[in-house]
Amino acid sequence: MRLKLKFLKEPLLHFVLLGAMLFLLFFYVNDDPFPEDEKNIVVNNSTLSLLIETFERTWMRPPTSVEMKGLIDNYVKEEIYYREGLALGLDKNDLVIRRRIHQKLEFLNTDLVETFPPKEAELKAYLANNPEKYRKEETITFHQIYINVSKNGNDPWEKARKLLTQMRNRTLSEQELKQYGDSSMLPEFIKDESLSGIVRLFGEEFADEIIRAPLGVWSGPYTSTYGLHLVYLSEKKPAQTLSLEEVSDAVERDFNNDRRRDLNNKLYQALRKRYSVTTEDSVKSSTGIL
Amino acid sequence: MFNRSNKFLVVMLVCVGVFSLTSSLFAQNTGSTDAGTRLSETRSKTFNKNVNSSFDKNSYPIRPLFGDQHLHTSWSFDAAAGGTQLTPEEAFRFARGEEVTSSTGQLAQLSRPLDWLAVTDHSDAMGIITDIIAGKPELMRDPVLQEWYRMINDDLEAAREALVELVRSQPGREDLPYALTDPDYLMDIWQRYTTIAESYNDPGRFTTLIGYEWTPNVSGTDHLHRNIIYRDGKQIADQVTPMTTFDTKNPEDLWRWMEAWTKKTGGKILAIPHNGNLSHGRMFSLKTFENKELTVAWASDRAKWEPLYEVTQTKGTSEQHPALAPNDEFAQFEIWDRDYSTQTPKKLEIIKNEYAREAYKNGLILESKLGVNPFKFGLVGSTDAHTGLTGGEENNFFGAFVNTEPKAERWRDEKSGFTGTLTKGWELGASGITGVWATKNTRTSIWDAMKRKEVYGTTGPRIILRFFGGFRFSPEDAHSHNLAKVGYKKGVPMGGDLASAPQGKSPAFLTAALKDPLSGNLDRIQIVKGWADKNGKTHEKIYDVVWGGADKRSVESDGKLTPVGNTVNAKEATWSNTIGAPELITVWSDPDFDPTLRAFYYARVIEIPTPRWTTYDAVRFGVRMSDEIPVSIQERAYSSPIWYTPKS
Repeated sequence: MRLKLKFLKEPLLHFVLLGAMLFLLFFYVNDDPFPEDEKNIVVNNSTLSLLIETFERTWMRPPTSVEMKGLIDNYVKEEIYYREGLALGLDKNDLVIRRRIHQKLEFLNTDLVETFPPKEAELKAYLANNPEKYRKEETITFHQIYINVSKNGNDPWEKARKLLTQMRNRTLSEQELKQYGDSSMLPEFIKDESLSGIVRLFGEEFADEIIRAPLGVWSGPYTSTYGLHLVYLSEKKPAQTLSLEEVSDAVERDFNNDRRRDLNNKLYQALRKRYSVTTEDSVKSSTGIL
Repeated sequence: MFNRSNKFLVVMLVCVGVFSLTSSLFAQNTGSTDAGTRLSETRSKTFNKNVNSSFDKNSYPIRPLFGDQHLHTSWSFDAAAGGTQLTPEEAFRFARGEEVTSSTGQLAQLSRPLDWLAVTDHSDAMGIITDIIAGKPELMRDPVLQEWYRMINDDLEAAREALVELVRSQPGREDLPYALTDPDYLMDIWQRYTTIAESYNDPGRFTTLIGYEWTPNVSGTDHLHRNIIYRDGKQIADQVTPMTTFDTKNPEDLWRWMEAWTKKTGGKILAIPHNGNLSHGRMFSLKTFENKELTVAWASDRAKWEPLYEVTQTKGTSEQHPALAPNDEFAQFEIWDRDYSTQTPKKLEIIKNEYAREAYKNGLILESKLGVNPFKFGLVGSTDAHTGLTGGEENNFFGAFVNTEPKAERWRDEKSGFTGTLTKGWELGASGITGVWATKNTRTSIWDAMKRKEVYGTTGPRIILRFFGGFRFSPEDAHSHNLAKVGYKKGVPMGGDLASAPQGKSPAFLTAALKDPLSGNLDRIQIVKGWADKNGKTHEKIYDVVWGGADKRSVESDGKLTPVGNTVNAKEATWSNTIGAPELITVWSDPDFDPTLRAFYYARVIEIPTPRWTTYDAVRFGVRMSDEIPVSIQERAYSSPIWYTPKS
């Protein structure tokens, strides 16, 4: 019994009933809600070709006659629902429709960006104003020997330092290096890697230290989240600013993206001027908006 | 066709556009300056700019490429309705490491960049909008616009005057905005999207995969969703409009469409099903869509077009349900097992066809009957976020929809004010990510690795996971200084096949996992084995094969390994890596191998407990949450399986 009462309190039920009542009322008051011509759905050649074209774009072949009939039936059905729905005002305050229309308007607006491609001088200026966006990061090349803390007794640090002294006085081939230290999935040789790349492989703590390691000599031990490392830093390539020729695609993309944002802001500012907004007092007091 | 105010608006659009384009376009300060709080404290300060990684030069993959193949932006109708404002452009920028402003005005940045991303908006939204947008070259054919353009180039001020005059004096002209709205001059939102994807594709550094989600909700809510991932670029992707659910809701039709697509374009695509946990028993059903018996053709199509399955994402994990694996103490993990529409518990009969491990087992039986295993898929992880923000990081979780972007009360808000389900915000998982063993960071290399299933999914952390199977591995291989070389030489990688065991030999698996430098140590690696016996019954067994703190832990009399412990401090949302191990490597040989039976093996890596995203929220916002919410979680990685098939 209680369950049934609860069901009657369901807001959705109220909504549906209210909608049905409005619908009936609508028909009572106005037994022909649409002008005559709006009750006629025209299927002409251009409708047909649009339906066929749309079908072909998905299915990559023309529809069969059975499918064609289905497409037309669907079109008629959709059109009827669309018209009836609009007549009922179902498009009003529909979040999906509202936001879609907002988006369509912005698309229309920003298509102009593609219509008027940027001039080279504009791209040059953009690059000059944003050099850090297109800079080639500093990179380093190094070998590392890994000391697994859990496999090296009570004082892995001491072991690492001893190994370092051994390493310092000789030049070793990559093959020879492999007999030192513990095996691991961590790469032993890293070539031309950026700081952010080293962060991704070894973590930030290690990357911050290794970038300042002395060049051309074994050093360490350095700590990472994995354990201890001895490092031979063999090469450092400084950061580089790039020319427009080298990064023109990226510059054009970013330039256009900025133009799009700018266009949409301007559109909104222009449209906003056509409206006044009245904030009711009760809203002001409850939200603190002045 | 146009009333006066329409016309005015269109003219205004053009005016604003043209003037803006030709004035003050050199503005340097393009980024938003809105104040906001960044969530992640561990982010790196730079992202990989214009540096090609050295690993590109090797013949086998050196490190996995991390990415997400399932992300929505405001171009998905449900995301837009939920308030998402970010576009595919911002989604790509965020994924490659840049800071962006979220739809709720908060600054967002990943702790470190991803290597690749597929933005996969719902094709249904695209279907609706396909025919409404004006094309660009067509614009310039309009004589009036040409005239404007000419005038503006001549003299900006004169043009402004002329335009104002034009608008004022000729409100009745029918030819003015026609080019903007004539349905014959249409352009697809799909092509806008592929243009953006193309512009952010940066081979060697950051790859953008083109894709979309085909989203059939059958019988109202049964999720049979698939993501379609393209191997090729815009030129091929633009040839055909994506499949929508207005076209069909039947996955078998999708496969036919993929077949026709391949023939027409010469390109390659694959489909990744997801959310079997919300499919009401239909994702891995043992019947066709129309409830008929499975056929050889059906099994071949499924295996061919759907080589992967999404095992974890914000809406729960789909590896295995605890009720189906009472011996798996890790199965109770981010499970969404209530009926999607009624939120009531589902029957076991339904749950049986929703989870990957059961499908693997059933696949063995089907293969013995049909000769083809339809459920021979690899595993990936993704976010399925509808905010334009990928990630899957517990301490940097930007939610599933805009209403679950960071705020104090999101843990008890409904998942999405849009779908109207009763799921609470806290039930969302900050998950997941895919590791791809590709040799190069390019579309083709990543797609090819996906196709051969050399991929794995994690619940968010960037755990590095290797998994090789073969008959020649020896225990010393675990100490090799070049694990990958040994692995590829002596065996097959994840996603591969083993057949006809040599006399007296059991398959052995070289498996290794390296912790995420920013996440917890590793608790253990497990190997999950499933097989079908001679009577057509299926079984599963989980082996703990290597674990951290080995001197203090062992497999006890009940067959269970001593738990790793828990260092999580809930009050501060911290943990310490004093338990577990940063790296685990072993060679494990199957002690229960029967060479006459079909079997599959996959590796599951378990991290030590770390704070769940809700725990970070509780500390950050100073809120007290209800006790049902787990304080810590054990994140994990799931490899794609290696299958053993006896000689027939």
